[in-house]
Amino acid sequence: MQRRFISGAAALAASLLGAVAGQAQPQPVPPEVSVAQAGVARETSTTPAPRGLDGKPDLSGFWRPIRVPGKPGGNLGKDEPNFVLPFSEAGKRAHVYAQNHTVDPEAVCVLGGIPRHNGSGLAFEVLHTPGRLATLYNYNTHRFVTIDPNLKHPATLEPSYFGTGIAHWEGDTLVIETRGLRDSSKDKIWLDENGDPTSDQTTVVERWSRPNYHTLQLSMTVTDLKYYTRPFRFDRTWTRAEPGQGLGEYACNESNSAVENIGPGAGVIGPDGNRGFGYERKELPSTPPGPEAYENVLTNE
Amino acid sequence: MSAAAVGALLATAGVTPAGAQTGKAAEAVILGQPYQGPKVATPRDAKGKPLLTGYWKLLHEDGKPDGNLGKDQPGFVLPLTPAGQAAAAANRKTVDPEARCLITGTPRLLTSVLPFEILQTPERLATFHQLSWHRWVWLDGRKREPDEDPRYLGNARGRWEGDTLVIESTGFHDSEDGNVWLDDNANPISGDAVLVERWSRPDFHHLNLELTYTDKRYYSRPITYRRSWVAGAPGEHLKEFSCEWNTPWVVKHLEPGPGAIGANGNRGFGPDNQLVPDLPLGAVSGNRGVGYWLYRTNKPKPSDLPKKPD
Repeated sequence: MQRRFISGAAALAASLLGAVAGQAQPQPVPPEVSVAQAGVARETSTTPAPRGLDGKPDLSGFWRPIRVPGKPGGNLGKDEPNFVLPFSEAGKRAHVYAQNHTVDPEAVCVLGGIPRHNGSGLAFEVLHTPGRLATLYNYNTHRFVTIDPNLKHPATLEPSYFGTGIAHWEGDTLVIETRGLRDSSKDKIWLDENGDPTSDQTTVVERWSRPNYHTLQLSMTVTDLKYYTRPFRFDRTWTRAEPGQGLGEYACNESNSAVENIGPGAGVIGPDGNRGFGYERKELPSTPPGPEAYENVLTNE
Repeated sequence: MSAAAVGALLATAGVTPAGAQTGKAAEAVILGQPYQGPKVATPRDAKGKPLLTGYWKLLHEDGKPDGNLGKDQPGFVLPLTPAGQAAAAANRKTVDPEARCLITGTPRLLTSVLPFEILQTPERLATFHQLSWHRWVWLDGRKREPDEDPRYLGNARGRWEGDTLVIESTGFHDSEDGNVWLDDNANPISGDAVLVERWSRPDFHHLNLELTYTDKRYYSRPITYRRSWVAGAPGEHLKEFSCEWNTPWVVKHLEPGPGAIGANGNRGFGPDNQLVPDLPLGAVSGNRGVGYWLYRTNKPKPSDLPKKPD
C-alpha cells in the first residue's frame, strides 16, 4: 500500500513538473495517474467520431472534464442563479439533514451514484457496446446502462445508487433515462459533491453525443419534484484523453477503519458555488500528502 | 466468492424478505444450465475477432469445489512451497479481504461461483463482477511496464492468438500485506505472480477459460485451471451491489481465515452444504451488504452486530 502510494505521488509530481518545464523535453505521460487533470476543449476538431457495429457513435474512451472559469465544479446548480438549486420546502429539510447527518458517501467508499458522477471533476471512462454501456469511475465503481428502444422501466424498482438506466438513440444522441434511485433523507446518497439532496422520485435524463473524435457532450435534465420546485438542466463537455490513457485501480476501502473519524456534510459552500475545504478555504495541496499525513488517523483505531 | 462463502445473513437473523431464495432456487438463478438449443455463431467485431461481451453463468462441475484454484489439482490442494505455506498460515489469521470490502483480485474473481459480465471494445475490455468490482484489460498491444504499480487485479494486457484472447497479468499485491488472497480458500498470492488467461467463445452460448498461474515464490510449479460458462438469457445482466458494511466491527471482530477446508475442497460450508449463496446476495438491506457471507454455525455473524462498535 505504501509502495503504491509513494509511486503514485511521485508520478503525479513528475507529471506536474512536466506540465511546467517539460515542453522542451516531452516525457511519456504516465498512463493512469492523472485522473484529476482537466481536459482542453477540442470542439472544433474535424476528426470524426468512431462508429460502433450498429453504426451509431461509439462513446467509448477516457474522458476529461473541461473546466469553465467562474463555474463551480461538482455542483449541479452551476447554471442556476447564485449556483443554488430550486429547493422545495422538503428539499431544504433534506439538504439540512444531509449536511448534518450524512458523511460524504464517496468518502466512505459508497457508490457515488447518478447524477453525482456527471458533475465530478475527475476523468471517467466509457465502455460502449451496442446493447450495453458502462461508465466507470475513479473509485473503482461503475454504472451500467441497457440500450434497448423497446425496454421500459417497470412500475416498481429496487432502489439503487446508480438507479436503473435504460437508453435509446435519437439520431446520433444516446438518451439515457434513469429511475429507481435512493433517497438522501434515508440513504447514503447525494445529488452532487455539495451535498444537495436527491429523492426516490428523481428521474435523470442524460443526452450524450460525440460530435467529433475528441469531444463528448452531455445535456442532462434532473426532475425531482419532491426536493426541487422544477426540473433543472446541467450541460457539460469532456475531451478525449491521450491514446493509451485510461482508468487504473483505486483501493477505496483500505483505510476503512478511519471512517468514523469523518464528519458529516460537504462543508461550507462558498458564494462561488464551490464546496469548501475547511473554514479558512484552504486550497488543496498541489501534490497529495505522504503517508505521514495519515499517521494519526491510522494509529487512532 | 466461494460456494461456501454463502450469505445466510437473513436466514441467521430469522428474517426472510419477500423474494429471498435459498438452496435449489438460488442455484437456478445463479448457476448456468447446459445449453440445449441450436448452435449460434460466435459474434465478431469489425476485425473479425470474437466478441466476449455478455452475461456469463458458471457451468458448475459436480464434485469440484468453486472458489478454490486447486479445483483441478490432486486432492484439490495447491503445491505450496515452504514460503507459500507460511503465507497461507498468515492469511488464515486475517479477516477475509472480501469481507472488508477490499477489491477482490484476480485470479480469485475467476474462481467465483457467481455470474459475471464482459464488455469488449476494440482497445479496452472489462470484466464486471459481484461486489461492484471490475477488472480492466488493455487490448492495444502494449508491453509490460518495467515499473508497474502493484494492484489487486494486476496489470492486464490482452492479445489475440487466432480466436483465443490471451490475457497476461503481472504486478499483483502480495498476501504478505494482509489484504489479498489468491482464492476464497485463503491460498496466498505473491508479487511475483504471472497470470495467463486464455479465453475462447466457440459459439454464441459458451465461454471457456484456461488459466495458468505461475508463482515461484509460493508454489512449486505452475497451476492450471479450466472453467466454462454459458450465456445468460437475453436481458439478464449484472445487478448493482454496494459493499459498504466495512465497519470497524467487521474489520475487528470477524473470525479470521476461510474456515475449515473440507475434503471436497470447499471452504467452511454450512449444514446445507449449498453450492451458491442465498439471494438477495449478502443482503443487509436490499442490494447493500457486506462481503462476509460465510455460512458457519457457532461463529459470529454480521447479524450478531452489537449495538455500537467499541
